[in-house]
Amino acid sequence: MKFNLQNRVNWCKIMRITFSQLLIAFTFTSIAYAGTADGQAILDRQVDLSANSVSLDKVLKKLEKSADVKFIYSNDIIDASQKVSVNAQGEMLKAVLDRLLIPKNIRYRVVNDCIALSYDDLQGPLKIPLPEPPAYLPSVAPRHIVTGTVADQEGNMLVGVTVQAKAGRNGAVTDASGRYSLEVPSPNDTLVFTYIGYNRLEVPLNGKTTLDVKITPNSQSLNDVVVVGYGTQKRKDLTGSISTVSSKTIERGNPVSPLQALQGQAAGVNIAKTSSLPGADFQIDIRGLGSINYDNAPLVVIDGNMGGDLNTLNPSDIASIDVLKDASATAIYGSRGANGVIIVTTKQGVTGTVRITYDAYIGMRKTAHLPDMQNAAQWAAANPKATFTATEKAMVEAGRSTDWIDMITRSAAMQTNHVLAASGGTQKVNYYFSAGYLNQDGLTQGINYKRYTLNGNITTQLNKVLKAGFNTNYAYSVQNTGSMETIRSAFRARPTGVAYYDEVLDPSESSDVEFKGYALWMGINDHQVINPLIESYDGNQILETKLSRFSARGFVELTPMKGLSIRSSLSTFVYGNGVGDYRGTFTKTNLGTAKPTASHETSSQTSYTLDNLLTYKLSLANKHNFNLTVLQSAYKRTDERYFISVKDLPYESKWHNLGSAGTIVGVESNLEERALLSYMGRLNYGFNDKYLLTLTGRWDGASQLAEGHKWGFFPSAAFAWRLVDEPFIRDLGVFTDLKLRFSYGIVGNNVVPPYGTKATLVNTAYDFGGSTAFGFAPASIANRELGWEKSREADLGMNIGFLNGRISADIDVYKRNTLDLIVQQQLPTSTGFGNVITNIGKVQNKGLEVTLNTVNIQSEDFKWRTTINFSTNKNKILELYGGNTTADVGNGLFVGQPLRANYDYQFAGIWQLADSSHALEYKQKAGNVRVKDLNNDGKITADEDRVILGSEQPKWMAGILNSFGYRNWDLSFMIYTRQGAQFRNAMLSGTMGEIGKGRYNALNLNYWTPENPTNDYYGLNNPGPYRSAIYYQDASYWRVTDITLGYAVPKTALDRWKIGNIRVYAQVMNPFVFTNFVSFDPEYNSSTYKDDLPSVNFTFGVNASF
Amino acid sequence: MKLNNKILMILTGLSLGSAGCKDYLDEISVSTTTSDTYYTTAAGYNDLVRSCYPLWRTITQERDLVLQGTDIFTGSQWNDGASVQNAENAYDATLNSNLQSLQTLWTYLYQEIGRCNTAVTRAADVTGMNEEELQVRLAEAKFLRAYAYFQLVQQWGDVPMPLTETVTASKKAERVASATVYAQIIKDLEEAENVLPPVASDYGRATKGAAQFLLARVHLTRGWNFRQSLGGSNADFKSALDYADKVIAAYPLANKYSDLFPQHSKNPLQQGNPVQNDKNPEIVFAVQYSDNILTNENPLVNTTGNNAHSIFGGQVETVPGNIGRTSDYNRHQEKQTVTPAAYRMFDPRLDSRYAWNFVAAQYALKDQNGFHPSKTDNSITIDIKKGDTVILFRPWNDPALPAEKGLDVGGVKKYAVYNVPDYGEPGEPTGFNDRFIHPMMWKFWQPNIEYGDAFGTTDQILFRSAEAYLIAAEAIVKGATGGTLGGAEVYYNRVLDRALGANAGAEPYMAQKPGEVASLDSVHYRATAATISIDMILDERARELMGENMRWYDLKRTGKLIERTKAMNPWTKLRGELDDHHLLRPIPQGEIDLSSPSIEQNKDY
Repeated sequence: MKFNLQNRVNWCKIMRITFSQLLIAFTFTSIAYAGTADGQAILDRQVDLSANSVSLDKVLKKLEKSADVKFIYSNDIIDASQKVSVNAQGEMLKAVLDRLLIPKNIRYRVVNDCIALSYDDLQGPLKIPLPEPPAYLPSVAPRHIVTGTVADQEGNMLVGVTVQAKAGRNGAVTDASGRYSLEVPSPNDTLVFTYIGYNRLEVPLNGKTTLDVKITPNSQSLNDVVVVGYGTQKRKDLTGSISTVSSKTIERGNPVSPLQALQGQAAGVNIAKTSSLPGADFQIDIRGLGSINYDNAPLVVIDGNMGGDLNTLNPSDIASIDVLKDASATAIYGSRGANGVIIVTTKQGVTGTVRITYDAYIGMRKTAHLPDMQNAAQWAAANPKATFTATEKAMVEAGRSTDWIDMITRSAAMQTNHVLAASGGTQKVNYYFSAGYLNQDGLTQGINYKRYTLNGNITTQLNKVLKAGFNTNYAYSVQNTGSMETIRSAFRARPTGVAYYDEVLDPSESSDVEFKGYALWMGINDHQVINPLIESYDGNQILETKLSRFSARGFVELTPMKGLSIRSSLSTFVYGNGVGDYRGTFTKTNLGTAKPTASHETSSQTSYTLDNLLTYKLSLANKHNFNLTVLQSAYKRTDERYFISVKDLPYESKWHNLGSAGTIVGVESNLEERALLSYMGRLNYGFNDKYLLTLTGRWDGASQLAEGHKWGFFPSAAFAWRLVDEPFIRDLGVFTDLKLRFSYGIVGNNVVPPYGTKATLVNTAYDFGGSTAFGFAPASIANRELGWEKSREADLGMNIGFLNGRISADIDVYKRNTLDLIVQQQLPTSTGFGNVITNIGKVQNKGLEVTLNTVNIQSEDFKWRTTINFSTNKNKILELYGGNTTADVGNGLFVGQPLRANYDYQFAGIWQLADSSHALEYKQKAGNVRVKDLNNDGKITADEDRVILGSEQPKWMAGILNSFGYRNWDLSFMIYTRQGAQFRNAMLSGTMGEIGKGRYNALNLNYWTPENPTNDYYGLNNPGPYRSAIYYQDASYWRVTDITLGYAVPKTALDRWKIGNIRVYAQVMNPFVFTNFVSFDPEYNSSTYKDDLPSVNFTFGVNASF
Repeated sequence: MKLNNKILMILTGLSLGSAGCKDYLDEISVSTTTSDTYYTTAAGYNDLVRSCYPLWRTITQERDLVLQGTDIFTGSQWNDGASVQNAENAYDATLNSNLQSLQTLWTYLYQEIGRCNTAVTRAADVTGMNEEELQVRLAEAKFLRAYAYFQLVQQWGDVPMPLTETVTASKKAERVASATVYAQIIKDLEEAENVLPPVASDYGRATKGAAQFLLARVHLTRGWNFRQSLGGSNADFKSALDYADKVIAAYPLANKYSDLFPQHSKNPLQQGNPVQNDKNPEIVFAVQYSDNILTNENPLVNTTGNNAHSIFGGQVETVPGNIGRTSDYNRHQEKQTVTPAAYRMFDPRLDSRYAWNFVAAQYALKDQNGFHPSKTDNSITIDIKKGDTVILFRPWNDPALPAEKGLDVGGVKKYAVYNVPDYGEPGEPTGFNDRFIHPMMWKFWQPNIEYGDAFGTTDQILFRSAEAYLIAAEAIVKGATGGTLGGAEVYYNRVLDRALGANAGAEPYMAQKPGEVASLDSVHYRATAATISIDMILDERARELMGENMRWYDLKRTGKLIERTKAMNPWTKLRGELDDHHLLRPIPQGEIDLSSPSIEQNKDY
C-alpha cells in the first residue's frame, strides 16, 4: 500500500502512521463526516478554486494551498487521476468537498489538521446511492455520531467487526483497537454487529452516542462458511458430514503440530502419536481403517493445495480445519479423498485493517508416567545366575543402584515458540504473512527439534472480472534424535553398573574403556549395551533429519458474467528431506575401536496439481438454487532418493566429507513417478432453501493400477431437509436448528505404490572366484489385474439446535463397505515370493459420531461451555478371497473380525506348583505362562488353541473440552479417552519383559516365584513355550490433555500503550494419564528404541495483537 | 479486455495440454526394470542365473538345523547347564512349528527355488543368446534347484514342489511325496550333469563334477530309503559309488588337511599375514566369498560375508588379558559349539585334524597385573603379560593332575588348566572364568579381518572329494560293489592317512565311548575290511568334515541320529525326549497359516 502524503512538511501527528519494513499500519476504518469542533473549523475555511477537467490530485493540491490543509489518502483506494471539474469563490471548504467528492462516492473526514479520504464503505463503490448532497449549505441537520468498541467475552478487542445502523445504510468496521465510529440517521436507531464466527448482536441506541459491546462466539453459526471441496457452503446448506475445528480451538491447546490439536476435537477422527520424540509424526485415520498395509491417512488440502503435510504446518497460521467424512463430502476429491479429507484454511487478511499478532510461549518439560524398572538389589535378586563383576557386587552390597533413566534425563527440557503475523487488506488486495519459530528440546541429551515456518498469501481483484491469488507455505525443520539407542540402552543397562570409569573397580574384568570420564561397559561384563551417557553424549552420535517443505499455489479466476466463474489453479509441492547419520568411535556401532561411520540420504518429492474449475450459480424464481461445478484435474508426483554410506572416516566430519572415508559401503538411488487424471462434476440444488440435493460424479485414472483397470467412476448423492424451516417445526418454537441429512456414494482408493503391477527385479551380489557377479532376481509377482479398491458409504446425519442455540448437536451414523480391498498379501513362502499387492476382500466400518456443544452458564461475568465429541467405530472383515476362506492366519485376516486383530494363545495365568502334574501333561512346569487349552484335548495346538484376543483398533473415543470465563479470566481443560485398543506390548515382548534372563535390566513386574505364587507374570527366566500370550494388554486410557488458565489484560491498561489486546496464560499439558498399559504412553506401543521419554509440560505464554 | 483474453487463452491451453497427453497414465519404471522385458535378453538371462547363487551364502549360514541336535554339535547355552537348551538340542516342546530357524531355512530354500524356477521357465523365451551357453545356464539352475529340494526333503519329508515360475498369487501349498521329490532331484541333476562343463566359465559356478558329487550324495541317501518313503533301492548305492568314483578321479585330495581352510597361526599375537588360497583341486563346489566390500558384506544388496570364522564357540572375551571386542579371536560366539564328546573322537597326538579343529591354548592380548585367579583366596595374585598362556586345554587322553592345574583351583600353574570333563562341569567359578569354558572350534578362523559377525572372505566348501571317498565307503558297506579303489576300508583309510600326514599308516586312538567324558578307554580308528562300519564312517566324517554343513543329514540318513545324539549330546540326553518323530521337522507355522487349504503338519507336532 502506498500512501500519498501531499504535504510532507506539516506532519499529521495524531495519525501515528507507522512505517516498518514489513508493513504499514494504517487504517481507514470508520467513515463519517467531520464531527469534531476542530474539524468543523477546518471545513469552514474559505477557499477559492477553479478547475475544469483537472485530475483529482491536482485539485486537492490546490485546495491544500488555498485552505491550508493536508489531504491524506491511498492511491490504492482513491483513483486520484480521475478528471474532475469544480469552481468556487470564497466558499466554505466543506461545500466544495461535498460537491467534489460525494458524487464520486468518496468520503472524507477531518482528523486533526488532515483530511482523510476514503470510499464510502469497504465493500467497494456505493451500492445504494446517497441522496443528493446539498449544493451549498452548512450542515444544518444534526449529525448523530456513535462511537465505541467491540470486544469478545474475554475483553479482547475485535478487529474487522461490521457495525451497521439498522435503518441507515452506513456501515463501519472496527479498527485495530476494536474501535468504530458511525453516523446514524437517528439517535434511536439500532446498531447491528456482525462478525464471522460470532453471534449477531443488535443493540438499540436509545440516544446514546457511545456504545461499547461484547459479542459472543458461535462456533456452530449456521451462516458460517464451511469449506467443502472446491468451494464453500453455508453450514445450513451442507448435505455431507463435515466437522469443523476453529482457530480458537487449535490455538487454545497450544500444539506443536496441528494434528495434536485435532485430537479429540472432531468426532470420528482417530489421531495417535507414533513416538515421544519432538517433531515425530502422528498417525491418523478417519472412521476406521479401510486399508490394511497402506496408509490410512486422509488427504490434506491446505488452501486448495492438495497433498499437504499437517505436521510441518504452523498451527498459528490456521484459520479453520474442516474434516470431510462421508462419501458425499469427499467424493469430489475422488480417489485422493478415499480416507477422508482434511481441509485447512489458513488465515487471510481482512479488508481495511492491518493487524499484527504476536504469540509466544516458553515451556519446560519434565519426565512423567515412566514405567518402573528394577533397581540393583531387585535385579541381583532376580538374576542369581548372572555374571557379576567386582564393581557390580560392590554396588549391590553397598545397597547402591544406578538409575540410568534419571541420569540421561535433562534437568530442564525447554520449549519455546514465537509466531509473528501481519495481515490486512485494501479494496483490491488482501494479504497475510507470518513467521514462526519453534524450539523443542528432548528429555534426553542430543534430542532436539527446531522448526521455522513462513507463510504468505495474497489475493487481488485485478479488475471487475479477474481475480488472482497466490499463497506459499514454507517449513524447515531440523530434528536431531541423537542415538536411536539412548533410551533403549538406559532401559537395558543393568542398575548394578556404574556410569564413571573411576567407579569401575577392575576395568579389566569388563574390558572397560574410558570415554570423557564415562565407562564404556559400565563395569558390566556383557558387551551388548554401551553406557547410555556415552550414547547420548553430545555429538558422539548424531541422527539429524532436515525437512524442507515448500508448497505454493497460484490461481486466476474469471467471472465473465454473473454466477459464472472459471478458475484455473496450479499447486506444487517441493519436499526435500536430508537424513544424516554419524556414529563416532564410541558408539554401539563402532564399539570404541572402529573409526567413525556415516551415511547421508537425500530424498525429494515434487508434485503438481493442475485444476481447471468451472462453477455456475443460478437462482430461478427465488426458489430454485442451482450450483454446478465442473472440474478437470491432472496430478503428477515424482519421488527421488539418493543414499551413500561410508565407514572409516579419518576424523569427525559427520556426513560432510564422505569422500574422505576409507571405504564406501553403499550407494543407492531410485525414482518413482505416479500420475492421476480426473474429471468431476457436481450439482447442488436447493429448493426453497429447505430441500437440498448434491450429486457428484468423478472419473479417476491412476497410473499405478494395471493396464485396463486404471479408470474408475465414483458417483455420490446426498439429500438434506431443513426441518427447522418447515412451519410445523418452527411453530413448535423449540428448535433453532433441525436438519436431516442422508448421503450415499462410492469412493475409490489407489493407495498402492507405483509399479505394484509390474514384476520388478532386485539387485543381487555375488562373486565368482573373486570377481564380482552382480545379478537381477525376480522381486515380485506382477498383478496384471490390480484395480480400484472401492468403498460404498451411507451416512445418515442430523443437526439439532435448541434452547436458543445453547445446546446444539451433530449426530451421524454411517456404514462403509470397502470392496476389492487392496492388500499386500503374504503368500506361502513355498511360492518363492513373500507377498503380492492384490485386491482380496471386503471390509466394513460402521459407526456413530456425536458432537455436542452446550453453553452451560452464560452470564455477564461468568461463562461455562462444554464440547463433547464421541465416536465409536466397528470394523470387520466381511469376505476374503471371494468367499473361499474364513481365516488367513498368516496375514492376520479373519472374516467377522477387525483388521489388525491380535491372534494368539489365550493367557490363563501362571502354572502354579500345585498344578505341576497338570502342567507336565502340557510339557510345562510351574512358573511358566499358562494358556487356555480351548478344545480341552490335553495339548496346546496352533490351529485349535489360538483365538482372536482383541484388536489394535479402539472401540470408542471421546474428547471433552470445558471452558470457563470469569471477567478477564479464562480456564479450560481437555479430557481425552480412547477405549478398547489392544496392543502386543513392545516393552513386555522386548528385553524389558525378560525376567531373570541375566543380561538386561527389566521392568519391575510382579513375577512368579515359588514363594510368590502370582498369576501376573511368569517365573524368573522361565516363560515356557507360550511367552507371547502374556504380551497382549488393553491400551485403554483416560488423559487430561491439558489445563489452561488465561488472563486478558484489561483494555484500560492497554490503551496507554496503544495495544489491541494481550492475554497471558499458563498451561500444563499431559498432567494425568489413567491406564493399565505398562509402557511410556498408552497412545502408542513404544519399544524404547527410537524414542524419547514421556513428559508433562509446563508452559507460560502470551497472545498479543496490535 | 486484453488481460482477460490472455488469461483465457492460457487456461484453455493448460487444460488442453494436460488432458491431451494420451500417455499421461502410462507407467514406466526407470529405476527398476521388469522381468518381462529383461529376462528375454542374453544379458538379462545371465543376470537371472547369477542371482541363483548368492542365496547359498544365506542358506549355508543357517546351521541350527544342520549341525545342532547331533552327536558333535550343540547350541550356545553351555553356561545354563541343564536348565535350558535351545529347541534344536532339547527336542522338547519348544521344538514346535513356531521355531524361527525352521521358518528361516524353509523360506530361503524356497526363495532359491523360486529364482531357479524362473530361470528354468524363462529359458525358452530368451533371444539372442548362444544356445550352448543358454543350456549351460539352464543346467546350473537345475542343479541349484535340486540341491535346494534335497535339503528340504531331508528336513521335512514331503514338501511342496513348484517347478515353474510363480506368476500369479496363489495360496496353494500342496505336499508332494518324498519319492517324487527325489525322482525330480535326480532328473534335474542328470540333465545338469549331461550339459555342465567339467570346468566352468567362471570359477564357482556349477560344474559336471558338482552334479556328479550331488548325485552320489542323493543316491546314497535314497539308498537308505528313510521309512521306505524315498523310492530308493540297493541300486542307489551302486549309483552313489559310481558317481563318487568319478569325482575321486577328477578331484585329487589336497596334500594337507589344513590346506583347505584359512591359514592362521595358533596364537593371535603371531598372526602375520599368511597367504590365503581357497582354490584347492580337492574342492568340487563351494559358496563363493571375496574381499570386495560391495559384494561380500553389504546389507544394501542383501549379501553377507562368510560368518564361519565367528560363530563356532566358545566364548573368549571373558578371560583375563582379553581386550574386549576385537578381531584377534575372530569374535568367537557361542552359537555353534561342539559337544564334549567331539573332542574325544580324535587322537590328539597323531591326527592333524585335532590341532586344526580346536584351540589348545588361549593367550593374553595385553598385560594385566595383580590379577586374582582365585575367588576364595584373595592373597594370590598373578602378573599376566601380553602373550602369556591364560588357559590351557589338555587333550582328552592326557588330563592334568590336580597339581598340574592352575593357581585358581589349588594347582601351581599361572594359567587355568581344563580337562575335557571340566567342560560344562565347571565346579566353583574362578578368576579365570566363571563361565562354562570349552575350547573354540577354530577350523575356519581367518586372521586379519574386520571385527564382526560375517566378514570372512574365504569360500565355504560344500563338496570336496574327501567326502566322496567316505560316500564310496558307505555305499560299499551298504552292499555296492565294483569300487575303483577297492573295498570300503581303502577309501576310508585314504582320508585318514592324509590326516595322519607323516604318521600315515599308524593306528590313531579315540575314546571308546566319547559320550562318557570321564572314561579314558580308547579304541583305534584305522579301518580294515573286517572292522569298517557305519559308525566308524560317521566318526571319520565327524573328524574330517566337522562344521561343514551336513551332520544332521548324515545321522538321519544312516538311522543313527537318535542313538548317537542321545549318547553324546549331554542336553539331548538329559531331556530324553528325542524320538522317531523328530526325524522329520515340523512344517513352519507361518507356512501353515498362509496356505489355503492349510498345508498338513508332520506327524506328532
